[in-house]
This record gives sequence, structure tokens and C-alpha cells, in this order.
Amino acid sequence: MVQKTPTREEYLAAGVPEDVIVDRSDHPMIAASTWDVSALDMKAAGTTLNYHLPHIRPASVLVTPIGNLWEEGAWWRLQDMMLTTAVAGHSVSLQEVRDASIFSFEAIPMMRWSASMMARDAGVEWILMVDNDTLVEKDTLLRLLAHDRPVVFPMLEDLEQRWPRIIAPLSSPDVIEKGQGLVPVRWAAMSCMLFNTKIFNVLEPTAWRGTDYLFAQCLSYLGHRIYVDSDTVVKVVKGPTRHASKEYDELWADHEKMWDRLRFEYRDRRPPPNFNPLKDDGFVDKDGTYLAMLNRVARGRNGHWKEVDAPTN
Amino acid sequence: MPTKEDLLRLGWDPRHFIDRATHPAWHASSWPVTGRGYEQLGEKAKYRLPHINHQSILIAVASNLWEPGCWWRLQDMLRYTEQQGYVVALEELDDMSLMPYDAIGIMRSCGATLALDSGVEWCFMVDTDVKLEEDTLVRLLQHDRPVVYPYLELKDDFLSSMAMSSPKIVPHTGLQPVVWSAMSAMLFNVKVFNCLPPFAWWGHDYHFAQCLAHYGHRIHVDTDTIVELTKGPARNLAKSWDQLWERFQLMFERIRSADRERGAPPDFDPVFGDGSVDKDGVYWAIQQWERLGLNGPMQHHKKPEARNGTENADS
Repeated sequence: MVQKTPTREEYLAAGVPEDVIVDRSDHPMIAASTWDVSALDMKAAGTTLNYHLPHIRPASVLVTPIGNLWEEGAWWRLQDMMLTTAVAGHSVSLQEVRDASIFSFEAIPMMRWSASMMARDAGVEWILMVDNDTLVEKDTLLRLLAHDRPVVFPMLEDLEQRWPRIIAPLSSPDVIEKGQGLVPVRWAAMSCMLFNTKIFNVLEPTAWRGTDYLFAQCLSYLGHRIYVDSDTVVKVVKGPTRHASKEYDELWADHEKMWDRLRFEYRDRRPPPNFNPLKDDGFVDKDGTYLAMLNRVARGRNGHWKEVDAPTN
Repeated sequence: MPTKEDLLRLGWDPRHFIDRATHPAWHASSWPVTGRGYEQLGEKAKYRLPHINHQSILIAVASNLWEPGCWWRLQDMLRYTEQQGYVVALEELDDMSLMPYDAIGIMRSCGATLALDSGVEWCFMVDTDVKLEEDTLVRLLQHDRPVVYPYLELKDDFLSSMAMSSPKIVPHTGLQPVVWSAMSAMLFNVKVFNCLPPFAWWGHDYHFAQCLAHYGHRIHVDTDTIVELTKGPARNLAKSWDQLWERFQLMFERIRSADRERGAPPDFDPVFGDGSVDKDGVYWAIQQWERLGLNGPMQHHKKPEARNGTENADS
């Protein structure tokens, strides 16, 4: 609720001297403040504009998948989530972060740091970092954004369940019960994370290099806490890697397998299982890659996507 | 928690059972926490990282030039907060202003650094013209947010009541996010100060809020926790040149020479009431603070004998 501004007459009646009433643009107290914000961005930002500091693209989001080695179903789900978020009025950008790992996963900290710098340098307000084994829902990003908190993770559901959850928790305390709203945690698995990019103005690059606990500790050092949204659940295809539970030979066999996958494996960018190119939004390009977009855009009636391959239908 | 047998049935390698302190995955974690802070955390303990003084607060007051009725209210708030299980320290910050208010930025920066270096978990910064309520601090702490201010009320100042924050907010509407708010009373988790450069404190309310926002922190005003201010913002620009310098001179003299307003509550009963009044007429809500209070850790350079207790022993 916001108080109304008094009228000139009310000020005068209250004994305010006339020359300190700021009611003209050549008054000494007037400071120009013009920001060329699009109506769509303002609509997406909604009431947060009442209390946010200025931003040229309020409510804009950069989605940064960490790598492009998509597990089955993860790519098209991400595409559909982006479309849903864009339809709600948000500016949504996508940038897959190049994987520089020699040993599987060793480059993940560098990739996340790189994504954080890109978000800051690119002028977006929010960033969603998401791993390639995360099956997001259409409304995942919108739901997380709605909290308007510096750091929010969705609740994870481990489909692999290699180990009992009590032994392999995904956060501390472990958030296993849905529908509890936002739950503050000490740490949480970093598969899917929404950040306000201002966090990165102060977060040390080394924060990304370590365990989930170390990362949470670095956030905590700056007064930031991770919240898990227990109403927003996403599935992860695989549980935590837990290299230490492997035999030495098994460990190196896994590394070799990943080495080959990273170098040679065709990326799984297929459309949803029952995708109908005539009726459904989105299109599939000549390589079988699915791109979600409204039909009127996919069929070339809008110039925005013309540089992408023409729709096959 | 599954038993060892349950896990064996699930195919768990027995070498991975962390059932002894010599196991490679076992890490020592022993924190000799004193006081009631941890217990006081309740459910919040589940998600907090370790701290040696959970729920400890430094109250950093910008100067000691108390307006009437503000000192004893602070004392009563201290007592109430301690009674709820918190550990509270109080430090009045040295005012080195030549022109009135010109050192406020330094004082607040000094308070933030002191809080960081003294191992407390929270820092409540308050000005000397704020009429706190007994439960003000406890109510703000319960939000467990990085930055929370109480709602500021100016009963007899029409203009100021309209301009204490942006957006302008009204009481009893819960926790409200704002772009900026007047800095008369502010509760911080001290970790916020790990981000802030000292220069953040040097400027107006908007500049400070902008510095917080630059690191992802937002000010929330608790509109259900209301404190009264004895006076509104100085508004020096609304004064004529002569008025301005007249006021500066007045403040200069007050800062140098005026006895400080540290009296007891109006109806204080020295026999049956909680607290005491010392020989100088200064009210202390808990009697032991009479010894610690004005000769605390930061004052030892002035009266070293008070630090080792010899002063009290002599008297």
C-alpha cells in the first residue's frame, strides 16, 4: 500500500514554504530521470517497479545451460519453458556455456563463473543456470521469478535414486516435502539456480570452485541465503556423481566415457515426443533440433527469427 | 535413518558406512556455543551456517546526543531483548563532526566495521532521536532478513511523514520492500557488511540503498514495527543562509558542551522498578550495565581502571 502525494494546497495549508514545493521541472530539486524501458518489460516487471532501482531491461532473464550434453527430454523442456516465460512478457535469452572439461565436470566451476560474468556484462537482471540433466517445467522460471529473491532454487526430484535420499540428500536440511513454500537451506544441489545478477558484483570467482556447501557458504558470507521453492519441483535425470564412492578403475572408466561423449556424441535436441509440427508451437530444423516459438513466429510472419533455418512446414 | 543392515541389503559398500570417527568422510565439527542463542534460533537453526554467538547483536548508536526519552527507551529495549535469549552489546560511536552530521557516514562505517570485527551476528544501527519500543529489536530479528528497518513515524511533522521512504508506505501492511528509506534505525545481518565499501555510508538514503542493491540486497520496512522520531530530517536546503549557520553553531555547542539526556523513564520507581539510576542520574535497565556501560571495551583508552574493575573496587 502506498501513501498518496499531497496537493500543493495541502502543502501550503501545512505551512510548507512555497519555494520548497517541488512542482515544476526547473526547480532546484528536480533531477532528470528518463529510462527508455519498453512497455512489455514494464508489464513483465509489474509491481516490482514500485520498489526496484532502475533497470533498462527489468525482468529480463538470461538462461545459461552449463554445457550442451543434454539428457533425453531436457532440451525441449527448456525450450518450452523459455517460450512460456517469453509469452508472459519477459525478455528471455539463451546461451549454452561451452564445456572445457578434460576430466568430466572439472570445468563446471569455470563455466558457471563464465555465465555469471556474461549475465552481468550483458545487462540482464536475472540469470537461470541449469544443468543438462534437469527436466524443467513450462512454468519453472516464471514461478521462481515471482519470488523476487536474490537466490532461489527449485526443489529437485532425483529420478535416478541411486542411493536412499537420507544418505544422498539434495540440500541441508533436505527439502523432500512439496508445498511448503520457500524453504531456507544451508546448501542445495546446484542443478538449477535463479540469481539476481547483482549478486555477482561481489561474489568471488573461487566461490564456484568447490562443493555445494562451499558455494552456499560464499553466498552466506555476503548475507545471501539460498531458498528452495518447494512448490516448484523439477526432476533431475541423474543424482549427484559421488566419485568417491567408485572404485579406482570405475572412476577412470567413467571419465573416459565422458571424454568420448563430450567429443563425439550428437546432442539430444529432439522435440517433445508427440510434437505435431502443423499444430503445435515451435519447429524442427533440418538437423532435427527443436526450437520452441509461437507458430506465427515459426512460420515466418515475424522477422525476429529469420536468421534461424526456415521452418520445415 | 536406515540401519547398517538396511543399507547392506540395498547393495551399499560397507566401506562407505560413516559409522566411526576415523572414517575418511567423517569431519570434526565442535562449536562451544554459550548462552541461549542457538536454542533461541529454534527452527531457524536447521538452515543456518555455524556461528559462535548465534543471535548476538551489536547496537551501534550514531553519537550520544540523545533526544529526551530516547536513552531510557533504548535501555528498556536492551533489557527486553536479553530477556528473550539474545546477547546484546551497546556501543555509542564517537561523533567527530565539525559541521553537524558531517561525520555520520564515518560513524556508521565505524559501527559496521566494529560489528564485523567483534564476532556478532547482527548489527542494529540507531540514531539518538529514535523512540524505540521494548520489542522493536526482537520483532525485526524475527524476520531473519539481511536488511530490515522499522517503520518511522513523525507524529507532528506533516511534510516529513510523507517522505521517509520510496515508495511511501503506510503502517500495518507487513514487510514492505522499498527503493530507499530514512536511515534512523536499521537492522543488518553483519555479513552484508562484507559486501559494502566504506564509502557506501557516505551520502544520502538513496545512495546507501543503491549500494545495497548493487550487491543484491534490498531494504524491507516492517510496517508493523513502528518507532517514533522526535524530529524530522534536517532539510538544510529549506533554510536561509543565516538560519543554516545559526543552526550549525547551535549544534556545534551542543555536541561540545551539552550534558547528555540519559534520564530514567518518567514514572521510574528506583525501589521497585527494574533497573537503576547511577550517581550522575543515568538510567541503566540492568544494573550491571552501570559498570560496563559507559566504560565498555571501546572506552578503555579513556579510563583504563574501569576495564579491570579497580575503579569500582575503590568506590
